[in-house]
Amino acid sequence: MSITTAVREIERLAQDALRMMGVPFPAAERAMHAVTWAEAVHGRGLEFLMAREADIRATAAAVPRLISESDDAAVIDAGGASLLTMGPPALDLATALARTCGVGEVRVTRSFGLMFAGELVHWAAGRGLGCVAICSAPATDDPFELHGSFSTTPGALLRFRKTPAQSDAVAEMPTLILQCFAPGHVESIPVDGEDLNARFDAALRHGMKSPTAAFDHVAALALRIRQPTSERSRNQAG
Amino acid sequence: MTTRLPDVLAAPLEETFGAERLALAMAALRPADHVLTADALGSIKATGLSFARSMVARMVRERWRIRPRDIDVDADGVGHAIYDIDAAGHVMTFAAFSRNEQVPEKEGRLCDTYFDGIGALFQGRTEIARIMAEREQMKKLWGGRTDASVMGWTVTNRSDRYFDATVDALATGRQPDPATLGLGGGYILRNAGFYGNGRMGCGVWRGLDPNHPLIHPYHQEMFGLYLWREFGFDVAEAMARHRSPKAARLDTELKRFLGIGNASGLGMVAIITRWPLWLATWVLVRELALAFAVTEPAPVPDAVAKRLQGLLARAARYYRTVDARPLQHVEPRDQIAANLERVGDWLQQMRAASAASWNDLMTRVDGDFDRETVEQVASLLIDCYPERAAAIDRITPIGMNLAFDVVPEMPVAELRDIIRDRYGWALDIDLTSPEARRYFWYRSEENNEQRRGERGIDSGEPVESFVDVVGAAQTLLSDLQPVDGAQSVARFLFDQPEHRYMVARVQSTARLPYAEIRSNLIDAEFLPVRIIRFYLTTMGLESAAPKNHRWVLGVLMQGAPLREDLEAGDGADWILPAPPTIGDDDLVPRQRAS
Repeated sequence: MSITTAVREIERLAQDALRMMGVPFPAAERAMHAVTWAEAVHGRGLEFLMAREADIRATAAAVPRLISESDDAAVIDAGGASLLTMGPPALDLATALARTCGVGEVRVTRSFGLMFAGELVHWAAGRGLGCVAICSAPATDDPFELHGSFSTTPGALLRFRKTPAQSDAVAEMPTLILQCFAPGHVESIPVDGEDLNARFDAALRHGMKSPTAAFDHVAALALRIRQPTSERSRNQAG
Repeated sequence: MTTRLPDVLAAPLEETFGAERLALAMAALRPADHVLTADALGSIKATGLSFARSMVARMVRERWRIRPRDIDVDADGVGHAIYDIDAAGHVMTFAAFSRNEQVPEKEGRLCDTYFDGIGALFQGRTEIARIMAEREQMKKLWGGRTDASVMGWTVTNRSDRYFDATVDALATGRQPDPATLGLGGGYILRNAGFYGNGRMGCGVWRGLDPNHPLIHPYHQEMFGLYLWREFGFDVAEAMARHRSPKAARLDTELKRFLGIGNASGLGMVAIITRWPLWLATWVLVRELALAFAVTEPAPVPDAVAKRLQGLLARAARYYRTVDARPLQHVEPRDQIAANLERVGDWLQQMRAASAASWNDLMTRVDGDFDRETVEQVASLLIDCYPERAAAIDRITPIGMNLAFDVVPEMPVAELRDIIRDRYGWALDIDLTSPEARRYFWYRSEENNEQRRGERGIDSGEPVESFVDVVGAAQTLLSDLQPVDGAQSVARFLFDQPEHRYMVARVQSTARLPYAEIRSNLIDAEFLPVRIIRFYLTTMGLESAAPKNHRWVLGVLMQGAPLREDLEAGDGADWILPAPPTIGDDDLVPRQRAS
């Protein structure tokens, strides 16, 4: 069962639902874009919120830890939190490094929610940067279709390298490698795969089909942001 | 003030006016401290830049065609009306369904389960089967679903007293008394909201074709209001015809005089605060238009001075004749009218001496009169240059959609400097007393609208809506103080992500001359009515009548051209109308002047 939804509608719902999962407003205000992008491009943003609600709640206020840092690279321990909240600080670091050194690479370990990496590439393009996001994870984790290009944002690319499930090497690899390139530091990034920006633009223009159960679940969660009113507050109604 | 605008805003302005002329106007911008206090914003009056006005101007300019395809309502006004719209070659359909039930209170709130009218604005020509399918969803109100072929649903309520008086009069073959209708603000239908931009799954504004006739911000909403105004006239006339074969049509001048009512409350404060680039843009375009005017070489051409003279007289008359409801939190209307008449006298003297200077006039007005009079004169001055205002308005959608993002590579020292420079007003506010932090905004369980709660009493603080700009600025600077100034903002946010939104806010508006309401919005003494008035005026509310400190009534599109005027390209100069004169013989008997 699916329901026709709209980009702006999912943004509103996602922000409120994330806040009701304990994600602070500044993080939820940014993460709503990632949920919406994933819904538009992969059709799975709302399902992710429903399926991983407990994990998001448990790590809602997690703060990343910087493991190592050099002039043009950094490694982050996400502490088990999703890319919804760990993607923005990672991209900020990569952006700052790229704008300072031309190229910046940030590796994120112990995170989940790979489908949101694509929105980071999209966001980096909005900052005028080329970007490559390379995700590695067991096939059992976030098994969404993740390969794609970004033809409408020159120099940007999303390329995922799936690691074989049950591989011992998986645990040793970062969840995400995010590489940002300042203008002039990358000419093109050839990649096969569907243009993911085109998918997002189509959703903007025509709406999208979302799973009804996930939509209802997230909408119900979002509605809980509404708060009861004291008699004194009622006098402030207007 | 000589801030250099971001290139995306400066470039189209320089292309139109030239870099030198733009620089001259930029240097004449009024100081932000003078413009951005809640009191100052609340005094601002509508101009051609207001969304309702720019919407109507576009319809007139492009001669939009709005033709009823089918109006089928009974004597009680129950039924439907379908309109075919040709907006400069772009086809749309408006389908509205009308009810008439006795409901104790029709406040037009989001939580209401009854509205007198509900309509849908479709892309393209829409056939009846699709319209009826939409109706089934609209019956569920906000529980219904639609798709991107619909731009939004809109709802309205009748002003029971004045709508009924109009139908009753028409049914007797006479006209309702304009003075009586004016007592209610000058409308027979009230706006109860336009729910678009993705709500219920409808089309999204960002998804519209760049050439779409409703691509300008808020034009979908304003067009919805215009359509309800036409619908109200059509339904009233149809009801009267059902009641009597001798029923009159509503007088054309009276139709033009009637606008569409509106009432708005506390939620406007949360909206304006939530989107700082909107406020920054709305104030910028208005102030820029004023700055261009006051930097016109003196003496100004007499034709322009004559235009202002006429507008001052019209405005004075408007204040004396329109909306007799008692007012709170505003200057008395008669006082503003008298002030405008004095300004008119000064201008007459300037013209007689061939020395009309807008800078001299505004300086004198600013020195002698209350803020509402000053802002009314400023608005009329802006309206003396409609083509210029339209050119400046080109940057409105650009400014509202500037990137809202952090600048991660910025050194912390630079961010601190920006905060001290741009938020000094906020840093000076003492938040230590409980009264300074008395209120917070939250989404109400009762009506799903924004309400104002009291800290320590209401339970919604953990999920409060962002309104406390002052507190956020102070906390941010405090947390930045011990940080190495060379460290990047990215690294600072890495450790303290709770500041991300405020950092983005500070950085995104840093190069805009006007940003942030310079008042403590959570203070016990803060009057929301000021900001509600500003918001509604930006929409185009002409006659604002605050009902109390948190609720503002008013009317939009009063005097606006009718659909037949649009087709003829008539009615560009419609603001501040006078009540039409209707002969006693044509008036409904009980409303004749005694």
